Amino acid sequence: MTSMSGDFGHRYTRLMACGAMLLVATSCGAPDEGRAAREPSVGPIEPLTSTLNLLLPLDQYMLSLSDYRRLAEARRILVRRCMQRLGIDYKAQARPGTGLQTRNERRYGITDQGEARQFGYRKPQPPTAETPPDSAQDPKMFALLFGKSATRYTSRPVPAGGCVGEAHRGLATGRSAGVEDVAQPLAMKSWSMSAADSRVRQVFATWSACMKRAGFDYPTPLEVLQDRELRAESSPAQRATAVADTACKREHNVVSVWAAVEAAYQSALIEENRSALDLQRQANATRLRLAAAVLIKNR
Amino acid sequence: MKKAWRLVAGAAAGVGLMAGVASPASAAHKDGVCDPGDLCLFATDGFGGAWVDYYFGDNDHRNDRFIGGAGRSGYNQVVADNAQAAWNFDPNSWAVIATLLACEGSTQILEESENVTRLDSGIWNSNWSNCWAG
Repeated sequence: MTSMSGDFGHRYTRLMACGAMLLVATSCGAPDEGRAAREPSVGPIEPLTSTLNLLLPLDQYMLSLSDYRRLAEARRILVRRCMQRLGIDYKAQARPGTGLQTRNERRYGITDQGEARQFGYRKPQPPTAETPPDSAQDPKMFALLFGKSATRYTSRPVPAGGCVGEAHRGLATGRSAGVEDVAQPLAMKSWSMSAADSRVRQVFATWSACMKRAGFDYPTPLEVLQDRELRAESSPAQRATAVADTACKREHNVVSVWAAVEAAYQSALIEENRSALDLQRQANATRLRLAAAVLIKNR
Repeated sequence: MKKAWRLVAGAAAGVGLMAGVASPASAAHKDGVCDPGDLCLFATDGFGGAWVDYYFGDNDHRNDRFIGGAGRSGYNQVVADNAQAAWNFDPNSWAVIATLLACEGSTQILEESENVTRLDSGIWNSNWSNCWAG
């Protein structure tokens, strides 16, 4: 089984080169002291076998997937109410879902051995072909939803930005409007930094040796996440690889170490960006309160 | 008027954004037209670049190209690692853009918006998949 795809992502190439240098330097007795000094310290690492309910420090500043679901539901209610006011029975169609239950569930790839055994690397998902067509594509609906080309409809005023614009305003008022999303970019940064950290590269190396013993040749868990051929469709080979992947992650504490190291990077990033993050957290709380009021009123 | 709507206004059909060739009653997946219901990814950090439109989630951007906006910056380039901006044009759902295949790795979630969202450099350097949720 090959591990390197032809168009291997350049970002990971950079990460791997960096990690490889650190490992070589360490093994030669000449550690990159400057680099090591920049790596945040990590306390005792608790065993972590599942990432389903993992919360990292930056998560307190971000909306969870269930928060997004509540906001989307509230937005659909507001849009529907607005359209009803215009005399239109609009059926807002929700998407069937990603298969992900939480934001961090697949942050470090697959961790659930049961899922690996049953589905390989794939999350069970509703068939996309069954996604119902959205009536927003009807030209009249479109004009009213987005406020295009009509300021009035059957003598009733169309709100600025249409009913979608009105729903936006209904869920983002006052200080919650226009607050910059700083948490998600920081969480991406921490993910990249942690994947290049020397301690994470060390557990990647032990994971790789474990995978090799099981008959799979991947330098790090990142490559298996990028193997297009392997992941193209569910197959016995994919399921066998996923089972070995989860077993090796568990045996060598890959996810425990990776999450602990990433948490350390996130804590440092929070200190550097606390005021902007606090603002975002307040804005998120305001939006969720507004959404809750809409949902309660709709019961 | 926001930039997005200027582009709408410039399209022949009004609904079929930018290329103006779509049937107003259908949003097709990866047809080169950014319609309501699509997640549109742009090759530059605004509406000025070429785009690709996803009506469904897509597990691998490495085999996709920016197929909308012939002649614009980034036209026909591979989408993976090159999308600098996104527009969630579905009023009912939120979209997840991920750094790895099948919405794994680190993610940026985009709610429906009136305008294009510049993607964080961490994701436009490595956008490999997207998925939808409501």
